[in-house]
Amino acid sequence: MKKILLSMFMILIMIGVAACGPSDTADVGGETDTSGGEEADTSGGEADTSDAKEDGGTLYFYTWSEYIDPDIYAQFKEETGITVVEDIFGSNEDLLAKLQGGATGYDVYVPSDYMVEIMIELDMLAELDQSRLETIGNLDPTFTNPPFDPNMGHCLPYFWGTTGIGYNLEDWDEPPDSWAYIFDPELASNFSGQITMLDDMREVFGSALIYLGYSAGTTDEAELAEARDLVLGIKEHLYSFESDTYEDLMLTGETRMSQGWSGDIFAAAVEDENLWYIIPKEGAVMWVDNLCISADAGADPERLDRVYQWLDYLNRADIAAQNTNWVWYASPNAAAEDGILEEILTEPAIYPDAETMERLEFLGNVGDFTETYSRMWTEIKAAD
Amino acid sequence: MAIEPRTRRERITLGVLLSPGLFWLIFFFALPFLLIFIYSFLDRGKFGGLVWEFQFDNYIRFADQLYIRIFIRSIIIAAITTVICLLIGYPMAYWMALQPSRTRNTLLLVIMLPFWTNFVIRTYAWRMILARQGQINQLLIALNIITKENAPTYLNTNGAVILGLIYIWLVAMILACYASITGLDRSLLEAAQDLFANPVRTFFRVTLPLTLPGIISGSILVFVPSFGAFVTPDMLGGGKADMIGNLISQQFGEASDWPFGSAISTILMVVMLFGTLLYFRGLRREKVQS
Amino acid sequence: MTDQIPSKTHQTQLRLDYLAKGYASFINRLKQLFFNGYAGLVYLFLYAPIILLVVYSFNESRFPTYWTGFTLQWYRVLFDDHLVGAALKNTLIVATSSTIISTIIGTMIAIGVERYRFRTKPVVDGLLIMPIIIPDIAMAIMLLVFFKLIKMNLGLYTIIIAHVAFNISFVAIIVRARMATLGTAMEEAASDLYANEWQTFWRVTFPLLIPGILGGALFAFTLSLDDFVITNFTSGPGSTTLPVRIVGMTRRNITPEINALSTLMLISAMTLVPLSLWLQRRAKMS
Repeated sequence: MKKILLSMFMILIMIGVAACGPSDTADVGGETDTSGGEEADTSGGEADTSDAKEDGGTLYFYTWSEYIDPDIYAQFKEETGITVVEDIFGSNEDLLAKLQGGATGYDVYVPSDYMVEIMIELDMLAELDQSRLETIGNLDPTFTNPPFDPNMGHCLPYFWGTTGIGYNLEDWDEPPDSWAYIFDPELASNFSGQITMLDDMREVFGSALIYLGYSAGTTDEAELAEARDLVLGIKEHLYSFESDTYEDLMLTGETRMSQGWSGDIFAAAVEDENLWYIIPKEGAVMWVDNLCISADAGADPERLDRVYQWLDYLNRADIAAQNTNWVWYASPNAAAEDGILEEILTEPAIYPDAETMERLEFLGNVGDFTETYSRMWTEIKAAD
Repeated sequence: MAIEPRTRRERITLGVLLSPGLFWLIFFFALPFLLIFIYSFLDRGKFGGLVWEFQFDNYIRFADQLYIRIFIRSIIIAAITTVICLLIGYPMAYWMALQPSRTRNTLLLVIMLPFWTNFVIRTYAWRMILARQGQINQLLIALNIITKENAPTYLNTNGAVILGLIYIWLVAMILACYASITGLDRSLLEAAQDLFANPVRTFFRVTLPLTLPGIISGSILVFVPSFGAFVTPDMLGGGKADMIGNLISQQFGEASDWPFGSAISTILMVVMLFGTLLYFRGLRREKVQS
Repeated sequence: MTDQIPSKTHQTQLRLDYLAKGYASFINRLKQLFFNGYAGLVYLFLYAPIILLVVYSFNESRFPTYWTGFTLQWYRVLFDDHLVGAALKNTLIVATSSTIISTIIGTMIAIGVERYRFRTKPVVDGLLIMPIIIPDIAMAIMLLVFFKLIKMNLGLYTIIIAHVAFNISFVAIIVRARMATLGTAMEEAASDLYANEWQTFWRVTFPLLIPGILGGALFAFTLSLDDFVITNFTSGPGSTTLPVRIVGMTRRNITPEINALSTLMLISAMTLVPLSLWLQRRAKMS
């Protein structure tokens, strides 16, 4: 009997640990959240109207990790009384799978370009009423009519960047300005076992296709097969396929070169000035992450009201500048440029010149052809 | 061992014991699983949705040497992991069972503690240890066995994946064996010792057969999750040694091909279900024979 | 001179006996030493990465490769991080609730299946093994769709339900391993004594099952604490857990802040060790 008591006691202690843990807040805005999960659960489907009048209510922001200056949540709360709760997803595909499964309750998502196209097609997004955004004029005209979302019918661009080559200045007299340094087996063998590529089907094919002179979103099987063989040819020289920590690997000297995203490598360059990033001369994939309204929030005027306040706030010149200075990606917000740090603004890796912009390309959605991509990607990954 | 519930009361007891578990498993597992089963006969929509046309294409697609090779590789990796876990875990559980009963529960707790951190962080720690500049190489350099220039990396190999899987699932093996070994009747062991005199023979003739249930459970607890693993092959295998788990998660993720992912999942479950049942049977028969 | 003096041969015999005994105990001790050393190595294997992550939670550099200097800054960062705090809270709520529920239900079903023979047993066996066999991602997707179908809003509840669904099986398999070894002899003897089945169960069977149940509960707690894939898909707005948060963080920077968090979690878990010792001693005394 004593042993039963013992085990009960241990369980109680676990509960004790749970209760004593940082007791504050599922809400990042400020005020202590009283009921944590339960509240989230009930307000998941319909906004809880009872509190809404007094404290401005809650907005559920489904985004990438560390993709916003956390101070902005508190500032927004102070200004509007609205509490923003941040939940995170790890990839565009995770987001899609979750929404396809029927998840609701989130107000604003942050998908990338090609995913916006898919999500619009699958009726997951509400339409954007631009007249409700006072700050709509702040945006750079380059981004106001993107191919994946004509005339910003659904989403507001948030941050953007490119996929190029990260390298170590110590290794090069002239920067490696061509994809050949990764895709040519002879050149790649100079850094055999010290190169990483993204663990991302579309990005790997995108860069390989651009190197071969094809479209990054090709739907031609022969072209794609050529790209596959190209990657298979240099697989033995790759350290790994890595999307998350490749810049850390470069910082610790474990690897010397990587296919990577501009912002990641530039953030690493802050810690080690020998790291640099280049958009190869053949061109590169460009991406834009967007603020999109969930279909279920779009059907609820009260939630929608909070959503527009939030989008308007993030798109304000001073807030967008503050955010950019924290995130270190390029902002599509032209009005914000006055407030953005000089070193970000003048960095061609972040803000490329017009001539480089010409060589950038969106991945685009490939529809049914995804099956072929997927199979060839498996062929690459499974090869010995 | 098991008894037939004869009286009405026994039948009620059995019902009470089973019903909460059955309710949960049927309602929150079997019914949802029907969805996966149905999906496996559908077609992928243009944008990754489902097209409700029944067909067998997804199963036919799997019969492809590319996928079969991944399947076999996963079996081999999981089998190696299981055998090593058993070889390390069983003696460990035995050692724990030999300790005074007072300290046993504490030892058990101490075994589990490392796992109350976070798996990503633990796997990261292994990445550090195995890396080119990691602690293993730092040690080897200090011992003058290798030089800094030719230090290899142990990461991104099948070996690293197996090590990672052992690290995660060894505890399951120890737990299962421990639960079984501490349940042994000591007097039986002592009698056996008198009979065989040789402790090695005592072990193989008596102890081992008696603790087979623990070995069976432990092996299943290690083999099955290792077989379907995909985070470990990603993080320690560098995405260069994909297993069947990666293939499945890719279908539900990047490929947005739920029907194909469902079909592979279904195939995997059928194979595993028969595999474990055969394994149970085989071991039981062996036990009866010995 | 007394006649009790043993003969010379007898003396030799005694000495030999003594030596043999000494040799045997020496071998035994050597064996024990070897065995203890082996156990030590296993513990070292389990703790090596843990020691590393604890040490590097005090390291100045963001990278746990080389030691660059002592700092507490990562702990400061951690205490200021409300997002991680909220995630930790969610994680502990989920892990504790799902462990309690699944341990009770899992133990019950284990006893039922192991003790009685009935016609549908193979079906129950299969049903019990399936949540272990299924690929995580398939279980995640099917539960997500299912929750939507039965109009349950996603949140902490749905995560707990999902965790219980896989933990029942893990608890049951460990408890069954324990029962299968125990056999029914003890229980039969006891039932002669007590006559009452209920009493037999609580006084004899249950205490014997405790190691299995405890093991199962610990295992369930661990699995729940670490689950990423299923949680990721069954969580709703405001119910992000620690593994989901940490996996998300790897996308940008994973900092020793997480090492610091792991260290604190480890320390609070370690307070359980002396406590369990103390409780056991008390239990023994009374």
